[in-house]
Amino acid sequence: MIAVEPQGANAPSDSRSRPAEQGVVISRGTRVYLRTMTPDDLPHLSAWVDDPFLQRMVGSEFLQSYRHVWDKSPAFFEAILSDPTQVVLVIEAYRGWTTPVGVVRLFNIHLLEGYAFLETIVADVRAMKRGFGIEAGKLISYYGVDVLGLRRIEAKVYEYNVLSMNSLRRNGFRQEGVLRQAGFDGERYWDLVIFGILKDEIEAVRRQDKVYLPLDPSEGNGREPT
Amino acid sequence: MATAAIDERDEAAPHLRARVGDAIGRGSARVMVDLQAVTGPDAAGIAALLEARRVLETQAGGTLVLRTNGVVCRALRVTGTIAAFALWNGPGM
Repeated sequence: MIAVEPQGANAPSDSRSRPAEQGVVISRGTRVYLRTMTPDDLPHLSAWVDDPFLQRMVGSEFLQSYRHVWDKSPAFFEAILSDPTQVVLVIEAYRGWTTPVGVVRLFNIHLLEGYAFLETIVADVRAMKRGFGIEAGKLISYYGVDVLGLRRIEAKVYEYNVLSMNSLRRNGFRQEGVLRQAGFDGERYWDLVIFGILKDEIEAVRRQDKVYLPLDPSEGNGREPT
Repeated sequence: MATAAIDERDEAAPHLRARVGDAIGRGSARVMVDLQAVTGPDAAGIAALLEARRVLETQAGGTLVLRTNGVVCRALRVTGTIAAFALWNGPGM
């Protein structure tokens, strides 16, 4: 059977076929899949680190390190690959997307204690509000539990980043506290909101996951499945 | 003592899980993992080592010993897991 997969209303209209998959695919969801980084991803990172919107919304130490510590050196790739305290995966979206839409990582991984921090960066503005970040966070959380043996994952969000807070809540994260005026955007200080999720709560989210049928209309319209 | 040699980075974690599982299945409570050929230990590989240690510790007399190199030792130190393992410092170290 040949299935025709409609593109999202605002998906890139690039008519080129999708390039062959790079890296090693670690996890597949219904909207996105996660793969290991390759050197070919560095130009994307280079563009993302210069995006002031991403800087304000995410304030990623990962991106800042690439720009300010590594000066966008290709050696950053090897450094990431050989860093056992973090797992960095590239987010690729299905259907109409020819370039990575972002990156998701577990960092400050404490293997003995079983906890780590989550950071999800959906860098392509056209890819926002499509559930890509939610699914990417979910997939890497499963990876953290299954492969790394994590029992707890934490995330920090700027108080004005409502989109990220909602994404975390949809993945079962709970707000655990507020770090008052812990973030600085160059002009003023902002609170950082702390979210956390435990292993059994991640498993509860996994049990609620649905298997989507090919004609399921949820893809690309920005709505979450009900 | 059963020995599992790990040499391919991308396959290290699943390979290790399988080899240790085989060793335990054959009744080996003492397992040495030879990591001397490993060039880039990652979080998944170290997590697999920790899991192997946990499994072996449930066996009577169960012991996991690592034969490491400098790169592996550094990764174990960076992740704060080096104290969790018995390291073999025999000939060739």
